[in-house]
Amino acid sequence: MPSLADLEAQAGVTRPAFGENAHILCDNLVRIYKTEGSSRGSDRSAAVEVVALQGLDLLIDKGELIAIVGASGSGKSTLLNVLSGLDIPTAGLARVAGMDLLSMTSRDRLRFRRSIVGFIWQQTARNLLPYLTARENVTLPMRLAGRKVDKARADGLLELLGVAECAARRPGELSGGQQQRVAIAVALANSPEVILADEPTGELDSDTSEDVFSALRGANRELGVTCVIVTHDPTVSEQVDRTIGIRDGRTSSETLRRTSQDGGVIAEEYAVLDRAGRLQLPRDFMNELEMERRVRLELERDHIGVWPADREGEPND
Amino acid sequence: MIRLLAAHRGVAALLAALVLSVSLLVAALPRMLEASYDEGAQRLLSNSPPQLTSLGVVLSTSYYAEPLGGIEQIVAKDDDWRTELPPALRQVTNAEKLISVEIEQQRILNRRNEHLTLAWVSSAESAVRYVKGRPPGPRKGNRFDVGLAAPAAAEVGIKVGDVLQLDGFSAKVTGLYEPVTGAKAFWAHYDSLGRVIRALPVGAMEEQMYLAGLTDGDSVATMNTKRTYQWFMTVKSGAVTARNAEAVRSGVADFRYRVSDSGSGISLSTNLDRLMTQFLDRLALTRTLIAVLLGGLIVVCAGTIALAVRLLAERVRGDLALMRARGASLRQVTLMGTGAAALMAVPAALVGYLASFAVPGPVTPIVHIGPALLALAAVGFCAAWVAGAHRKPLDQRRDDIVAARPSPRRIAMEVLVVALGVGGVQLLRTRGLGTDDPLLSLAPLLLALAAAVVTLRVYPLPLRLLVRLTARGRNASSYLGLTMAARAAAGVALPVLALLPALSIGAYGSATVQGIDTAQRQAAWQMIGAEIRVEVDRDIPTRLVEELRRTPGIDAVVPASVGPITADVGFRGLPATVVAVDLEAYRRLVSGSPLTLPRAPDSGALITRGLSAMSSFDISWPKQMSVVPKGIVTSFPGVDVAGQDLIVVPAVAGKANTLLISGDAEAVRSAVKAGMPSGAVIRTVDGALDGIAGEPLASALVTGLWVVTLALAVYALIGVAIAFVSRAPERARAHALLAVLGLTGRQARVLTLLEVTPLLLLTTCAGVALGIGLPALLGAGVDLAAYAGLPAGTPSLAPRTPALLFAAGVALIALVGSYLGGGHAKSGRS
Repeated sequence: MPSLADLEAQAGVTRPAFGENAHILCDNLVRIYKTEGSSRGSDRSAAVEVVALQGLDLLIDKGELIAIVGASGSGKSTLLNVLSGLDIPTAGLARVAGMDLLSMTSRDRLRFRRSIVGFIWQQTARNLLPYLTARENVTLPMRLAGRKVDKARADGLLELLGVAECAARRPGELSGGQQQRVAIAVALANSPEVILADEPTGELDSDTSEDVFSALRGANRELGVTCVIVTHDPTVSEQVDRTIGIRDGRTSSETLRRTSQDGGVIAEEYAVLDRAGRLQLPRDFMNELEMERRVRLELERDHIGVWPADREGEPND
Repeated sequence: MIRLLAAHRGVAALLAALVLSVSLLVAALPRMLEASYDEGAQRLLSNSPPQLTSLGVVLSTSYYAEPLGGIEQIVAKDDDWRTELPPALRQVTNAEKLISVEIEQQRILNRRNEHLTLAWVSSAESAVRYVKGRPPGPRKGNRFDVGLAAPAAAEVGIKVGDVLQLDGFSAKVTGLYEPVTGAKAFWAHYDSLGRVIRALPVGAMEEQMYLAGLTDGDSVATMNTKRTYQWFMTVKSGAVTARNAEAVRSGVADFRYRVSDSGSGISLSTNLDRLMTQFLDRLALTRTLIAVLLGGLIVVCAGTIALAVRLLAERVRGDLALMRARGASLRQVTLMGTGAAALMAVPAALVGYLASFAVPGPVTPIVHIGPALLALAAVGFCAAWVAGAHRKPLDQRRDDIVAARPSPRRIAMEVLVVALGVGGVQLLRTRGLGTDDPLLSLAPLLLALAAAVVTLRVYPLPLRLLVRLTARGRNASSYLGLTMAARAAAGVALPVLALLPALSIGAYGSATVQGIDTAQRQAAWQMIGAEIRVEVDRDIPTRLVEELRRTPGIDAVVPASVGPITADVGFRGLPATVVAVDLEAYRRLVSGSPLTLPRAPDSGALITRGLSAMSSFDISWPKQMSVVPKGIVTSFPGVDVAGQDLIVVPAVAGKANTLLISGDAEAVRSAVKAGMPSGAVIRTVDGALDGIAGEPLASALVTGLWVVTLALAVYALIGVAIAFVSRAPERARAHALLAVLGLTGRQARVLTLLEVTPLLLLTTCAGVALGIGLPALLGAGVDLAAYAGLPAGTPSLAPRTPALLFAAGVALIALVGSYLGGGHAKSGRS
């Protein structure tokens, strides 16, 4: 039995806050898009809300390379837009590299986009200005940030990403893969702490995808930058250390990969348990066991059992 | 920035071309118009007799008044008067002195019915050349020397050396002179020194002849009799412009106030102020009409440029959004977008401004301000647009689910525009257009904008109805086209705001041009009285009339006698003008022309109201007859009664000094020349029309109206084309998708046509309705008769056909363009 003094000491100990040391933190993040319903004449219609993110929790450590996967409309791109400072969440907490994305002023937000994050879009043509050379595209963020144009760094980045020979070429003279690698160099131009990539290999064939992903992984390893990649591409999602699944605006699963002693990759998929104790069961598990509306839980010594409720509402044995 | 522009060079070039052309128009058109206004002022002065335009200080003394002194003192007095001239008048008067002293007219006692005036004129020595005898010398006792005009002396039979006995003194003719060519001002003021004036004064039984002769200055200046001193300051017609006309008018009033002294008999004799008033009244109306149209043009041009700027901003939006996402601040992005627009707009405006200097005309402030404001507006609009579009860094807006709510600010603005438009026109109706109030002249434009705002609000209503109707049908093209039109409703504000004023003001402009043309034609007919008019100062032989009737190319000839008479009314008689003509034949001659003639009474004459109290009276010309009034006539074509009464009697056989003819003018000329080698004046309607239309203010207005109307049409079409092109990517995507589903090229064209037709049709209808309604709304404010010399208050002519043709032309070109463009969009993608 602990003594009263022990309990008092225990209560006095400050426990670390949720995700206190995480490089990227999302806690109960909500993003709602609203339509303003009209109330005039025959055009009368009710206001419509689309909840893109509904209480999403996410923790990413510094230097991690993770993939985010999910069905179309699950909220992946919204999450990435929020993390890049391009979109503002409706509620919750979002912090990237120690900066609170909800309370940032516009000046902070600008500094955040200039120095903290780099962004890569899916469309290869959208990442680069077509009338600038690859090197000029890389130096553009430096100019925009008001920094001295460091051509050596630009060349170094292009070298690191394997497109050094393309420095003087314009995007129209580059292949899709080369354009995406130049885009990674552009995203890295101002030495950001986080790289956010939205389907960076979405428009590429599998070989080129592999090259682009390798380039990203190289940047992650060489520069220690945290990489968050939204993807549908298994060649990407199956090669990262952690893959986070998003469903209906919430993180639903995490797949962790580690290398076994024999050199093979072991992938273990986990359901995500949020701080309120909510858990999303995989849909195919639920379908298989015809689970709906209610399940029966049983606390065992080292686990919790989940059983489908029987038709009469009684648990099956 | 340059590379950004190079990547979008097509749109950038379009923007530059638009700014350049508008800048040129805004800078050159006022110069051109101002030059025409100046020419109008100068033509008015140069066409007026110099004695009306010059400033004449006149001093009439009585018998017992002390003379002013010798010639030296009189000449020195001219300098005194000139120091009294207000600065505006000093700038427009010549330094040349024109001073005279004359004594009252004296009866020549030793000659029958002849009178003589002795005068001294300052510059006579350079205006006359003695051809016989010598110039007059100083007075010797009671005898003056006098020089007479040789033709006048010959006419009355006076020779050098003759002594003319006057009342109390005599005048010896010492020399005869002839006028020197080039001394126009002298002879304009002292025409009586060169000829014999014949007149029949009231009460006189015989014609009297009046002569004027030059004599020695000091002799006449010191004579104890009634003297008239005149100091003329002639006006440099080229120095009076539209800009100083008002100052000249008020300067005359000021000068009159300074010099006039009824006690000492000094007065200012000039019609310059009246001429200036006449000019300024017409100038105010011209300027206001032009302001209405230019205001419309500027709004339409601004709208078109705004569309081009928006197109450019949309084209660079992706690039700027990428920069924004890569860390560019709003200021950087706005500077980049605005700088790109400025790089095109500012040099283009400058080139347009410089090119305007190729157009002759004075430089008014608008020439400098217009292009500068234009460039500023283009750059400002671009800045606002880019800043608005990139205020938030996320380019991927959820437009699919986020709909804009009608902003209360916009509703308030729309209500304000409508209220201003309606209120402005109401004010205009009550106060008239020629009030020189620049804000009031913007009322029609505000009304056009108000109509555009209402159209934008009303536009979706018929569209929804049409969409519902077509949704039930089987034709996919019509349903899809109208649905696309309905979806495009949010982006049509700018095109409608540019197109509707263009159509309404353009329609109004074309109707006004036609109205002026009609009024001028009517005035020309009114002035001549027939297609061709032949006037002779004596009776026309009957055989010439018959010969003209037989001449090929001449359709009809109506002889008439037109002349002044003294009707035997009252003790002294009443001056009147008589027209003796076969009215029925004359009516047939001018049938189909704008002239309306009174019907001939069964018997008797038509008279003006001044004579209507008489039951009958006699006239002695064209023959002695008794006139029995049978009807009232107010005016008669081709006859200027100058405020006197008019008597229209039946034609007198064998008596005619005027021929009213329809047919070929050349045939008439050659026939008249053959039958009557001299003395015939032939005037035609076409000639008169050229004269009226060539009047600088009228021609400036018509030219201005044409230029503005055509420019409105062109800019309206460019505006429609830009609006069409702006939606091209979206349209091409839709067509590409539909092509996969089986859309044919023809269906694509129909689809595009139906997409643009509702807006174009509704805007055209609203624009034309307003354009046709504007003359009625403006009412008596715009009196086009003033441009034709017709009497004020002649009903304004507002033909509808030109307005309809203008709008139909613009709408048709736009629709054909969109139909062809629709096919192109489809083929470009398939």
